[in-house]
Formats: sequence, structure tokens, C-alpha cells
Amino acid sequence: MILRLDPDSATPAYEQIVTQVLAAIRAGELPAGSRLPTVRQLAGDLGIATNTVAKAYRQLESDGVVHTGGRNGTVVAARPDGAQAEEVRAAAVIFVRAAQREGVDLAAALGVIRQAW
Amino acid sequence: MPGYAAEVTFSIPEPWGRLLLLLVFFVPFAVVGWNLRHSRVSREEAQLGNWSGYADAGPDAPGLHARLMSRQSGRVIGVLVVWAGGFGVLALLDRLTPPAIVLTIPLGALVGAALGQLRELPAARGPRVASMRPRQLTDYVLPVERNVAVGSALLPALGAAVVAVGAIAGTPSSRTSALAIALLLATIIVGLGLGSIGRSLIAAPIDARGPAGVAWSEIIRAQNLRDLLVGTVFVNTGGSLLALLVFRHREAAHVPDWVWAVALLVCGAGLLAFVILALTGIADRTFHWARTHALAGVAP
Repeated sequence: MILRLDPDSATPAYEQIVTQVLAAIRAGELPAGSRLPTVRQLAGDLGIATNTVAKAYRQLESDGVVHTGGRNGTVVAARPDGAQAEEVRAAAVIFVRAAQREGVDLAAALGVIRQAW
Repeated sequence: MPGYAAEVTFSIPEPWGRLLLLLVFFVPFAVVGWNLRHSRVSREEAQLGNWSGYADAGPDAPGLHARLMSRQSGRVIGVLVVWAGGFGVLALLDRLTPPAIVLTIPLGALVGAALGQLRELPAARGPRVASMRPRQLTDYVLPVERNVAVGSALLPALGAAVVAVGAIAGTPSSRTSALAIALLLATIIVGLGLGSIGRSLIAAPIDARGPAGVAWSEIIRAQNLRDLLVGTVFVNTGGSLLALLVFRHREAAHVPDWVWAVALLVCGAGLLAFVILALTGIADRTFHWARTHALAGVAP
């Protein structure tokens, strides 16, 4: 995964890092257990202060997205079951609304899901 | 009418004459080597374009060109320093081309190239990118290469053990033991120095603006690290063998035959290490390992 930082953006650098790491995790580019670069390495590559990267990593850790500790450094955390269920539930709501808009009944909608499975 | 014959004889003091002879070879080599940097950089850029999958480094092209040029300059300067330093000192002492010094020229080249790679260049302005993976040696070179280099560090220790046992047994003179120990210490110090340069290379930031810049930079890093591993094995093997040969040669009558056996073992281990490095280098000459590990998610 390539992280891009725009120094001219109105979004603070640490937020840019958090947003992109979250997006990469969601997209599966950073699967659970992936090690992230050290604070010093990422700061050096991006040409920013180590405090900025440390702040982003702290934010990700407090969100439960990564965990830091020991020799492994900062590692992408396994997604809790609840989070997975939440995502599926949210997708289901969107699907149901779309089906209702189109006038598709439950049996036909389940058929669509079976087909897509 | 009698003919005239004139004879003019120049006389230069012996060490200075040898130095002058060195200069006759040194200056053309320096000039040619320095001027060949541009063509070598062009060749490297073409190779990087092929290997990385990015034919062009895009916005990173000027910075990478400067980095490659700095690396080539370091290579030439490294060779010249070894040549001028080693040959010059030895010419002043007594000898002109001892084989051991000739062998250190590639070492000067790779250390110079690594230092050229580490040289700080002005960073270009603009948004930067980074690869979201931690850097480690085995992302750039095969584990077998790393293991061979680490294993070669045992050879100076083996040499030191032999010298220590010999010194305790009192077979060679203390002067011979001191010389062998000094050589082994120098070997260990140079080996540690190469290791330190390697760690700095791994830690050095990428300073890229696009994926192509990241890909090119990482392949250059892999090239440097592979060269350094070869240099480390060369130093550990060559230094240990030289120390044991000095130990054996100086007081041949007093040193038991097992020292020869250990020296042969060192020689064999060094040879085996070079064969392994040569085979892995040939098998992975396009840096496929680094591209699939260090560049996972970067190369197109």
C-alpha cells in the first residue's frame, strides 16, 4: 500500500494518515496482522515530524484498529466480530432500501442474494 | 670527424619513482572513471525501468538521477581512495602491487557506492508518498544471503580462537600473535562498519513523490545491500585467512599443522560462501525477490 501525503491540504497530516490507513484496512490492502512501518521510518519517508506520525498511530490504536507493543511494533488488529456484523447489517439496510424502491419482494430479494453469494 | 653521442639519465629517488609510476596509471583511470558515470547512470536507469515495471520514474526522475549519480561518484571515489591510499603507502614502503590491495578495490567501490547512496541530497518540494511496510534486510536480499553473511562473521572469531590457543601454548612469538590479532581486529572492525552502513541503508528514507519513485528507490536499496553482503563476506573471509597465514608463515617451524587445517577450513568456508552468493546473485539478478517482498503493493 502506498500512502500519499499532501502538505498543501487543509486536512492535517495525521488525519490524512489515519484516513488512508483505515481505507486500506477496509479495502483489504492491510490485512489483520500486517506490520506498519515504524514511526521514524514513515516520518522520514514522508518528510514530516515523528510526532505527527506518532499522533496518527495513537489515534488508530485508540480506535482499536491497530495495536502496538513488543517486538512486533504496530500491527493491524483483527477486526472484532461485532464490527464485521455491523458492516454486514449496514450493507443489508442499503440493499433492502434499494429492493423496496424497485418493488422487489422478500423472496425475490433473497433470490438475488443467493445468486450473488 | 668524430661522432657525438649524448646520454641523459634522470634519477628519481626510488619510492618517489614508484609513486610517479602509480600516477601515470592513476590519473587516466580517475578521468575515465569519472567521465563514465553518466553512461553508467543511463544504463542503470534503463535497468530500473525494466525491473520495476515503471519505465519512467515520473516526478522522481530528477531526484533519482541525482541519487544514482551520487552513487556512481561514490563508487569512483571509493576506488580512487583505495588506490591512492593503499598503493601509495605501499609504494612508499617497498612494494608496488601486492595482490591483497588489488582485491580491496571492489571493496572501495561498494563502500563508496553505499556512502554515495547515503549522501544527503536536497529533497524536492511537493507531496510525498511512502510504502506502508516496515523495512528489513530480508525484504531486499534472500534469507540465504543474509545467513551466509552473518555466518561469515564466525570466521574472524575462529581465527581469534586459533591465535589465542597458539599464544597461550607459547608456540609463536608475541610479535606474531600481536600482528595476527591486529589483523583480526581490523577485520572485525571493518565488518562491523559494513554492518553499520547496511543498517543505515535500510533506515534511509525514500523521499519519493510517486509509486515509480518508491519502486526504483527500493531496487537501488536492494542492489546496495546485496553488494554490502558480498563485501562483508569478503572482509570476514579474507581478513581471517590473512591473519592465519601471517600466524603460520612468520614462525612456520613453531606453529603446529592444525593451524594450516583451520586456515584451509576458513578458505573453504569463504569459497563456499562466495559460491552461494554468486549463485543467488545470478538466480536473482533482476531483483525478483526484492520486487516481490519490498515492493509488494507498489510495483504495477
